[in-house]
Amino acid sequence: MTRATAFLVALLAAAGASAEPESDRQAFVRYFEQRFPDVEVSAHVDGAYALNEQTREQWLAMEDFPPYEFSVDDGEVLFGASFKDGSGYQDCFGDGNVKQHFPYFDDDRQTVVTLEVAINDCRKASGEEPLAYDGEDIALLAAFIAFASRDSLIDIDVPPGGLAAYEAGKEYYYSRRGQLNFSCSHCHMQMSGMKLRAETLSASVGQVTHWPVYRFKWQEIGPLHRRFVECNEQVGAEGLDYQSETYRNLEYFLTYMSRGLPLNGPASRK
Amino acid sequence: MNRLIALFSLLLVCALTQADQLNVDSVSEQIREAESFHDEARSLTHSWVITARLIEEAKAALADDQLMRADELSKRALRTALASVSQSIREKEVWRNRIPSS
Repeated sequence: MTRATAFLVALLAAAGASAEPESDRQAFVRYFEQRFPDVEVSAHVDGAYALNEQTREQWLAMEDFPPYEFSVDDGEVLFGASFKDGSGYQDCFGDGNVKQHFPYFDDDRQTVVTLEVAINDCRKASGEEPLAYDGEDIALLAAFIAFASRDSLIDIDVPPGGLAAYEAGKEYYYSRRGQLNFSCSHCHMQMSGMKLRAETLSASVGQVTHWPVYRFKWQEIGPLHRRFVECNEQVGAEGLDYQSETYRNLEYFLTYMSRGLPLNGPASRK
Repeated sequence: MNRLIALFSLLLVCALTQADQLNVDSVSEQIREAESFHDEARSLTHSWVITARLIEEAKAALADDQLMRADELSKRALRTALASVSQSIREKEVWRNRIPSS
């Protein structure tokens, strides 16, 4: 292939990608403004509880004694502990008010770095073993960091190097999968606000603001990627590994769609 | 009544003929084929839960010498595996249609 042909192919690929995250986000937000004209976009950080007054009241009553409270306390203890080399999480994350900057695209590694990946990077840099992504400790640490980051506004961007990861996350979000042949967008855009059995389907805007979540169904606090697995399986698709590249890309896309919204994690959900 | 007996006999003959043509190798090959398409779907992040379940059930039936059941399960596994691969191919073309217009 000549250099001119290669350049042309690259140009066409870039044009085909039509990666315009900010115009995507504006259209995404506008979609929900039009679908729910009586609901402020920022109210969607409460998920389905922004859409149903009756369940919202029940949820607010539960929040008087939030079930994730102990997880935040335990996470704070873990966060304050020192590694064997004397350093600690504070050396990587300061006082913990950092979640608004995650996930981000790491140009050096050419990959999306989520908060959980950064926690393990911090450990590895100090000679510690990484934590299991499906384990309790990483969820507790994420719970404390989420709590320390409350009310901060999501502040991530998509640099040119991150466009392919963003587009991959976007493609995953809009693609049908599983035996039921549903995409994420079918449930959380087209059918948002409608009932699936007894549950109201939440809007995708604001969905990433409150993780990790204590789910009564799980009887424990768990990460966003656990919910991704559950969503996949609910439509008959096989779930992926927590922190797989595909799920990190999906989180990257969804978080950019909620850019500017306040963080309110951890939270409780049915 | 005679027609009913004739139909039943026909079904019995068909089932026996089919069982006669089946053997462990052909069913095993069918399972392998289903696994291959399922792996392809998995690499495209489009694999289905039902396929993995059917493959496991087909293997268990084969191990238990239930050849006809293994054959039926592996055929279903192959159908769902193919459907998941074709879903991934189709979605490559159409996913953009769901993006809200800016």
